[in-house]
Amino acid sequence: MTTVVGIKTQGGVVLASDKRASKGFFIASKEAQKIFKIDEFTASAIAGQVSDAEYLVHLVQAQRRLIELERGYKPSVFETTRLIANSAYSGLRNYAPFLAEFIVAGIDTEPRLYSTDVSGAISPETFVSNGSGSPIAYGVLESTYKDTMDIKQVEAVAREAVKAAMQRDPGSGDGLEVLVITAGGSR
Amino acid sequence: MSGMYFSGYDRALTVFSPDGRLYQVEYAMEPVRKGWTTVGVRVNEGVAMVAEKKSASPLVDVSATEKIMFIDRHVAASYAGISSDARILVDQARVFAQAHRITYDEEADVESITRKIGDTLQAYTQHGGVRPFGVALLVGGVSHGTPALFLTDSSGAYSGYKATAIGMFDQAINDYLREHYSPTQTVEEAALLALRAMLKAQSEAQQTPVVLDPEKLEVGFARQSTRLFVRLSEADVSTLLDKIQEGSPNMEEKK
Repeated sequence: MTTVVGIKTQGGVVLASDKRASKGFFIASKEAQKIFKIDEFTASAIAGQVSDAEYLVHLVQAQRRLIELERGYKPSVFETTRLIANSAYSGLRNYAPFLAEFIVAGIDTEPRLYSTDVSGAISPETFVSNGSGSPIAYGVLESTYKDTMDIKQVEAVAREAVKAAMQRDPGSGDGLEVLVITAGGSR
Repeated sequence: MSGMYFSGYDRALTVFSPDGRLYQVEYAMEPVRKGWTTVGVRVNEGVAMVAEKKSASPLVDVSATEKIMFIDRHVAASYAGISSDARILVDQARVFAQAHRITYDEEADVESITRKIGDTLQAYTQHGGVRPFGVALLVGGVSHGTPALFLTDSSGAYSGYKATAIGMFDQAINDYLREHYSPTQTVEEAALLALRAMLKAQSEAQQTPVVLDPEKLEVGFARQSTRLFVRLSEADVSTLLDKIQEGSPNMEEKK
């Protein structure tokens, strides 16, 4: 269930999500949070088992703080993704997989966007979608995204992609949440 | 030390002397007494910490030495004594603080962190085959909106303080703090109080006016309002030092 979208452009990255949490054919919550700030310039959009996803987000937040304290500077967006992927991979190899997918977005030296899943594989992306609504969201993304777009245009595309999925995917709905990360911070 | 009399109760750590003392633990506090000075002052607005780092040689780059070490965003620790011992304790405290966040989704309070450090310190006064930590840690920060300052030493005992000093000239500094402390001071004034106390103690001991070097000082504030511990840059320490030279005890300046 869920639709989450991430798009990268020169000026920043955008994450968008719906707000529906499902228990089978039942809508468990209409106010689910699926986009988590990891710090002012890093965030993750989750899909899948909420408990697993939230746990890994909390874990990576703690790991990052320790790394920053020990070595004196923050982990990059890729390192952050790798920390999540390492946990996912060890879960998979120990017959206790974390049933969640993550879009990790942020800015370090430049805007970054990665996707990682149950297997712990990481793929760098320019636009990506996860969750049950992703095939519908991809329809919008593939037909409207252009690499010449600026952050404003890209934000509009992300909104439209999630909206389209909420119209036709029963696992997605109940409102839109968007996080835009630029050099000035996230909002 | 040559010529020192060993009574036999200071060879093995876990052995009490007949009058109930643990000599090894007391000896472990010796590097603390001789160590670089650290002062902490707690006021209503927050906590100020001032730490000195002197170098054995002018070739040592003291900017690479950290004397106020963050434990989490709202707590930091400073030490007097063996720096490597302090680092081990701070590393453990950092892991504890983050484990606390994962388990409870809450910041660990300053006392819990100090107690955890104290537990480790205590274990090393009781187990065999180990030596006690030659360090005392001053832990300061904000616990759920309340400023907190704690001190724990080689024995593992800890207590809360309004203001205290450890390391060289601690007696003289504590005397000064006792006389001039007020909880209504701002954190900046609290830091100035600590700096003045250090300056006075050092000048008296050396019987000549001493000038504090901003390069060899670290200053940190934890403000109740922000619930964050912030370490000042060398430039900000410099500006703070300039305010001491002006000398007026009741200053109003605020950032």
